[in-house]
Amino acid sequence: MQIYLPIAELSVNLFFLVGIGGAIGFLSGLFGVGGGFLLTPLLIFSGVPAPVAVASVTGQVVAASTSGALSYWRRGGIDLMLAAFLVLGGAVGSIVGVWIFSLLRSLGQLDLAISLGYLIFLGAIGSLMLYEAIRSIIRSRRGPQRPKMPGQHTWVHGLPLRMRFKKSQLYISVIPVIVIGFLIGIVGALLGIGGGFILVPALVYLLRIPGSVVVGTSLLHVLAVMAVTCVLHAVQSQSVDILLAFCLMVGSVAGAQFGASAGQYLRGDQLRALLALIVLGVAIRFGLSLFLTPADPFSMAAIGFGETV
Amino acid sequence: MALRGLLILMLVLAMAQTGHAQDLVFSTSNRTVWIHSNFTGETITLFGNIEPDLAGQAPQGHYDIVVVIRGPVGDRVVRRKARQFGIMLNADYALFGQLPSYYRVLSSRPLETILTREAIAEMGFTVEAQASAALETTTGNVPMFENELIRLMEKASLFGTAERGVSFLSPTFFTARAALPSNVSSGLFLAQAFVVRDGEVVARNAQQFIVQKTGFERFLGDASRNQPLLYGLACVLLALVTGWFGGVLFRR
Repeated sequence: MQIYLPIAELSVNLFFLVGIGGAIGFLSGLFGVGGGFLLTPLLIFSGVPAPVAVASVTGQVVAASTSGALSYWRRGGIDLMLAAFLVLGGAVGSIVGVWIFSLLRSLGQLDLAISLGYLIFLGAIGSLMLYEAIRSIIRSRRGPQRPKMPGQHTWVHGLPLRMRFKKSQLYISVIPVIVIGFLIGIVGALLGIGGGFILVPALVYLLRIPGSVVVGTSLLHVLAVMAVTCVLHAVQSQSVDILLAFCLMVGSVAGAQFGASAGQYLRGDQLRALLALIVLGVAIRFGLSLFLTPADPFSMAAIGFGETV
Repeated sequence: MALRGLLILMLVLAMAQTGHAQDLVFSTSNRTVWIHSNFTGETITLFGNIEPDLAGQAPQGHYDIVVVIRGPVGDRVVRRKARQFGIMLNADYALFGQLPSYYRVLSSRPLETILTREAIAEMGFTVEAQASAALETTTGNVPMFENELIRLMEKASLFGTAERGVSFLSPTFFTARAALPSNVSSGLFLAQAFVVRDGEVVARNAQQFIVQKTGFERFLGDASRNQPLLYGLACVLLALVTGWFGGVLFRR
């Protein structure tokens, strides 16, 4: 059944949209990530114009992280204070990101920036995650050893403006918190991803946030920043397609529930290794598009609202 | 009343008499093409009849028809990717201003066989003429970008040439069909028909039709342009409600 997307101005199969929403939702439930990093490229590869795909996925990410954040909230797994500072940085970051987005779009290098961004971020995070997961799988094969707990202080903990985060039981500077939020806000707005898969390791390894609150807090951050980004995209580039976003939301909210229950049958390190492979796969796909000569070197675009060449 | 109608008709006919050597009645199957939620494109049928002029001179001999359909204009950019610093970058571009977002030229026989080269150029019938008229600036090779624009527009089913797209059902009655793809722009379309005889345009007529989003699609399209802030907030609210509802629905 075809459905006409009024902003993208093309018709797409409804079941295809709900289907990829569901598949991505399943993965996001399984791994506890938003799934924007898979959804945006999938939409672009299936013919949705890149600006519409990036802008509309922000709506889907809000929906996906809302149900996740709610369940963590009920279990008390969110550090509101920490989230507030992250969101503060993130909101500013997303304003900067949306601004860079329209700048690149008018320079005609948006595709390049998106490809490069995916290659760099996904490649780096994917490799790190894979390395870490394989190490922990090997370690668990060797038998129980005492893992190095994230308890030691790093240079990050020596910065000024320290504050007490009760839920996380930490007394750290707010500067790195805001900076991390800011950077992920930029990346998120630019690439149409929530950034949960970058934020979680950053919070764990840089700030030593305990595992009990890290996922919930990061979900809340993703929710808030993506909500801001969605509104900004709607105002700045007018390329948010509500219908597209809604079809994806419905699929992913349902898929996430099944993913979460499937996740209980897999071990944490295996899950992380799997996620790392998927992340690396997407990074390689973008890398190839950068380095291989495309079948058709020419592309055409209608000049939309507020654009210049 | 009937008398008055007849009078007006006679007046109109008298005015038409001073015009062309032949008359043309021309119309489209739909005056409005509605884009609704399951719009996957639509075929529009155009038909016309070559009429006797008012001197009573009936159409005689062989006529040819050229039908041109033009969609609302907009700016388009064509970019070329090339290897720079080892990676594929958008290297040069061409900007086409006021380019019809949809263009079809249909004729009963190939254009070159019914009109002289000069006449075709003067009327700007061909897709090539549309591209070169719209070219504003380019940083690269002009003919290359014009050809690529045509190729990409044809690939998107937005440009097209049908050399035998007009068929005669009788010596004077003709019909033509043109497909509007699902990615067609909404707006005012103009269809023009030209009657050609012995290499000369002897009559012409034009007909407008509108492609318009309807219902919810139209509401969304308008809202995203006129109330972008509210539209964005509505999208976020929708996402929050969907996420919350999903969480409640599947709560175990």
